[in-house]
Amino acid sequence: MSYFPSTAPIPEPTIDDGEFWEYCAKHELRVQACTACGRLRFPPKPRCPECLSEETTWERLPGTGSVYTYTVVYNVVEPGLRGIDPYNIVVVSLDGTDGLHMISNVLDIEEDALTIGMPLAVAWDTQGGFDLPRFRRA
Amino acid sequence: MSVIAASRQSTPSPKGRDPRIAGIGCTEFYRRGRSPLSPYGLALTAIINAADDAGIDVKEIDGLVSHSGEPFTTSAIVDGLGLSRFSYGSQPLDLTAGGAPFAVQLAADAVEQGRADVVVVYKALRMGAADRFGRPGGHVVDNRDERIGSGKTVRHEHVYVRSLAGAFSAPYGASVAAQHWALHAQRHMYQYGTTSRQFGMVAKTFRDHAARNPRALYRTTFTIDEHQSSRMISTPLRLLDCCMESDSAIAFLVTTADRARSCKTRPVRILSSAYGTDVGMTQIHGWSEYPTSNLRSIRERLWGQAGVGPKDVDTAQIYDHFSSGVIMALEDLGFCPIGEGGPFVATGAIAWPDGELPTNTSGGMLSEVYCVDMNLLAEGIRQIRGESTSQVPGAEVALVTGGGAACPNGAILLAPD
Repeated sequence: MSYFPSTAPIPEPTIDDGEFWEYCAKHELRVQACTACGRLRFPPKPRCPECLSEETTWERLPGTGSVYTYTVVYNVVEPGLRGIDPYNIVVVSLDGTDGLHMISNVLDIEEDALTIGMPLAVAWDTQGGFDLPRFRRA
Repeated sequence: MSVIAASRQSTPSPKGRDPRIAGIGCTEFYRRGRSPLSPYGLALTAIINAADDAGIDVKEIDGLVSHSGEPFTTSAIVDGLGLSRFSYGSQPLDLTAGGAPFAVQLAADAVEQGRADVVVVYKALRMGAADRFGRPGGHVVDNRDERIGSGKTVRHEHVYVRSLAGAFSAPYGASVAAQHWALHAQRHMYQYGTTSRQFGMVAKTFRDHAARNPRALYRTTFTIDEHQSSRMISTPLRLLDCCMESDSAIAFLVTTADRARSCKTRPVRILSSAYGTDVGMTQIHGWSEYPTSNLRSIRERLWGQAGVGPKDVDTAQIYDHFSSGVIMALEDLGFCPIGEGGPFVATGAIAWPDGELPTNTSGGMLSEVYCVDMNLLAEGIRQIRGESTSQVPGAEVALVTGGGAACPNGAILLAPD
């Protein structure tokens, strides 16, 4: 069962980030790795912010990480998320990167059990036809 | 105080066009959705009031600076006020990067460079059915139905920032500012031991200041214990930690020093202003200085250009979208060491009249009004003029910070003429 109802916002893939979502559809968590200097980046961008190269590959990440910070939302504003509060939002520090952060949610956890530093592993979830990288306690 | 005499060597503009802030114009402040005027109508009123405050004819206005994100065009203002001399328009980027400080600096720069003689900065904000928040500035709206007194159902718009609500945040339920800055606040508590009660001290202090301000929308004081009982919004931020929603417009009139000195008001000088940003991968969640209010990069320039330091600041108006952000801003600018902002505010340091740094002395965005941060700049100007409802005696250095997720962020120091 999805973390959010089908009325939740969904991504609108663009030229810049479409490949990320294509890999998600294959349940692969990948981020851009600059071919010229090796730096990883997320969210997707047309060029490496460090060396400005346009050449990139998509590196597959281990899919693990940890909670860098979190919040539990009690006041729901998004119309498509009415009625499901509370829900959590986390910033995940991704393993296999130099501390890249990704916003996501943690599944199957009591809201008061979230802690900073908690180890996580990706748990693919579906929403409006998209595969989203959510996480579970590892 | 005498530091200002020493720093008065700020070199006058070679063209003799030193800019001064000469007028403040506010509309009445309304709870959200209660304004009888549209944002456009509110803006016209505020601009007229700013000109009237200065004693300058509205028709002399030849420059306009939008605070950005307005749901009407600058042309509408020009047409609406019959500004036949109009020759200069600009605005901060995105959703008011750099805030009111940057907007007034744009106006000051235009005057100094001879682009225009009388430049007005304006912002209007109105929540509710009569207005459809538009696309400029990247607003996204959600629609919420509410039955109003007449029995009609109207849609409320809740404005949130497109840059915070993109494909990599909104699908996870992260869209509004409270959620994003709650993530910073939670990390601040983890890294430094900051407490919710310390957030509460910020909120309570500004409410105490608002209680003295007849214009403020929220004037009922509360204790920190009461703050702890207020409704949780997004942990750790409670209702009383979050700025309000309201309807209003505020405007500032900037002109040359010569002109300002013949106006009805005491001219206010910009001592310095500086803007900058942390650079991160994941926008505000990838900053290297996380958690932060994104003001650290401006320290040297802000203080260096002014020739003053934090200890010389008589009063501060700090972007208080959230109480936690105030604590981080105080650290970022060097009023206390990084991580010690909680204990700093807990001492009463930001309270008027006895604190060493009376802050948000008209109540801030938390308690006075939410016209983004325009009321903070208004209060900074009033402190220098000697017109605050919680006046710091002889204030000569007033800090006003910008804020938010757009970059560059920045701050301005105001001084007497």
